[in-house]
Amino acid sequence: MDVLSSLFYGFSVALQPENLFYCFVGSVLGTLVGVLPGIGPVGAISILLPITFKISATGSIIMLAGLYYGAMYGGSTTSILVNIPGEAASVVTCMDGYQMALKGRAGPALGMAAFGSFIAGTVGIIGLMLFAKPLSAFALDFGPHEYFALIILGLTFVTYLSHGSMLKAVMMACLGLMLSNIGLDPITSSPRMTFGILELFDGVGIAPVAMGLFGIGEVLINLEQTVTQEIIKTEFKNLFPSRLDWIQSKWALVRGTLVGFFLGILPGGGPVLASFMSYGLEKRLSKEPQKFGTGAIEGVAAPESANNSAASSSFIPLLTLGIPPNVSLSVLFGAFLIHGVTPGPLLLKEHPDLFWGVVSSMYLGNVMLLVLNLPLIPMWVQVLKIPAKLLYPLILLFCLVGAYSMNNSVFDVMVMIVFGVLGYLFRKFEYEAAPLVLAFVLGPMLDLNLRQALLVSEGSFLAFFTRPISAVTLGLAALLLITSVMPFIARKVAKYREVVEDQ
Amino acid sequence: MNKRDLVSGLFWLAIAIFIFTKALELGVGTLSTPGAGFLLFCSSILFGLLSIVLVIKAILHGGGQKGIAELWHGLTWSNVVITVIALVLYCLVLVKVGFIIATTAIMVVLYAVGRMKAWVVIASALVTVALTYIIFHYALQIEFPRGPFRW
Repeated sequence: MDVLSSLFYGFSVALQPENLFYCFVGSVLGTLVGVLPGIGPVGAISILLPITFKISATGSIIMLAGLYYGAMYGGSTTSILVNIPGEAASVVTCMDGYQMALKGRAGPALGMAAFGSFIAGTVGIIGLMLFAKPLSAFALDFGPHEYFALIILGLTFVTYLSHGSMLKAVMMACLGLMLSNIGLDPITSSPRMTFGILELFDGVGIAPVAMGLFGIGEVLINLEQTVTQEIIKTEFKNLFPSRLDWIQSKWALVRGTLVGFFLGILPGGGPVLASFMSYGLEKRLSKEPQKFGTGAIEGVAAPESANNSAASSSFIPLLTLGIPPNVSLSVLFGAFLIHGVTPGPLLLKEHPDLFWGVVSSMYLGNVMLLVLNLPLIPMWVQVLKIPAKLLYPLILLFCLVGAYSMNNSVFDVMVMIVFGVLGYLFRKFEYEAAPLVLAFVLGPMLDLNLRQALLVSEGSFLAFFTRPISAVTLGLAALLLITSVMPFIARKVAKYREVVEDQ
Repeated sequence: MNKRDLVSGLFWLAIAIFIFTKALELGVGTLSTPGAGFLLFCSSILFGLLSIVLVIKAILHGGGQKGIAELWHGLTWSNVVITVIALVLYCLVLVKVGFIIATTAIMVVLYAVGRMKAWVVIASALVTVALTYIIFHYALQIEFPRGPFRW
């Protein structure tokens, strides 16, 4: 099948009433999650995972994917109107979006965010469609050495791009790897770290871990704080950006889309990094960089287009290589596995209905989101007025019901609570949970591929460097590690020179 | 000294040592035939080494004086304690008393944490549980523990 006929086939799947409904539900929930501060797409996808048991694999992935990219749309609303980002990828939109709202230009800011998101999201899907097939075919030649190297590169990127201490990020990745080893060994079937607990023989589920870290943990952090939200009182009569707005934003939209697309594919990248990078790039390229932070429309257009483009393109490594590039998609990876589908190079061949159905649903989802985000903005503003004292108990209840219904087991609920407390303490002690979750998901693959590679090469590590793809990938990972250590060494050398000169 | 990193670093070091011993018990194997504990062995060593680096950094540099008590200073941490206790108790009694009673009780506690009027708390809890039961049990056909009253 060529791309067009595959797309046509995908639309025939996505336009089935059931799948269309799930796409709509995912888009609405995504917007809601994006609008509401306190719960992000990771937590929401994890909470919804158990509900998808009753839905077909295609319907489930369509809904969860809709939730993921829908959150990117919704996030801008809170950033612009309340100066509180609904989710991490919209943090940077606050800088100019809120300033525009203060100046009475909330309408064009919201409009540009929605149109920018739509344009970039659609371009991202076209890229996904064009790249997926050749990349899948290429990945069929990958062996355990290549997969091991790719996973190492992904984990290195995640720790390299962490917001806080890189040391702590690497520690979290190690912890994730160790946790992923709980359960039966895939090669010898011997129980590992199960402590005689029957429920641990299947390992710890991704849903209780993610729900705990990103759902319960987030609520616990918010419960001890008093947040006051001030919503800008503005009339939303003029949501369409003016001609001048479009002229000022056109290159920001193009660059944001491109930056987002490539950073989305990158392991460890994704919408959050893309929004920051595109904002930084726009500011650097601007003839009036002093305008940024005071209400420049380019400061809204660039990050909003980047995060949507990245949300679409981040499906490329997940669907073609079977490697989730960020934490949200690692939970989505769990959803694939729950439905007995393994994402990777064989997905296109074995489940073309799922692959093309999901890709086509993204086009439909983007149209739905544009429709939802423009005329319904006043409604989303009302949603923002839901008091936290009502919202947080509801999130906790969804987590409890979700964790229980996975296996009808209280054990999963307990696991979720333990990870909830851990997530809360991680936030307190400045540890990032994202490397842990990504390593937790990639851990079994890493373990299996490393051991298979060593078995094949009879214990020689040299084989990782004699195969071109694995050598280049590991080389990149090493380069990243070196560049992250370089500033530290440079500082030490400078300090040493100062001491020597003083003496 | 950064007490936060010191305490967390020491805690992680203890975890690393524990997992290291478990990996040895499982069998590390050889490079040509890696055993079940191979990855655990490698990752626990790296984890332990990084924990030591964190502890040393916390003692030598620390990034300023960072105490542990300050983490909860000026915050209503009692909300967190009450919520966590309520969640743990929920797990312990869920199967014994059934979904409806256990969930109503925890929702009363969770809404009460928000300092709402008593009747609002009880009414919100009842409505929430009723809606949850209808959606999850009847619509999504999820079986919840029924408890002694069989509902």
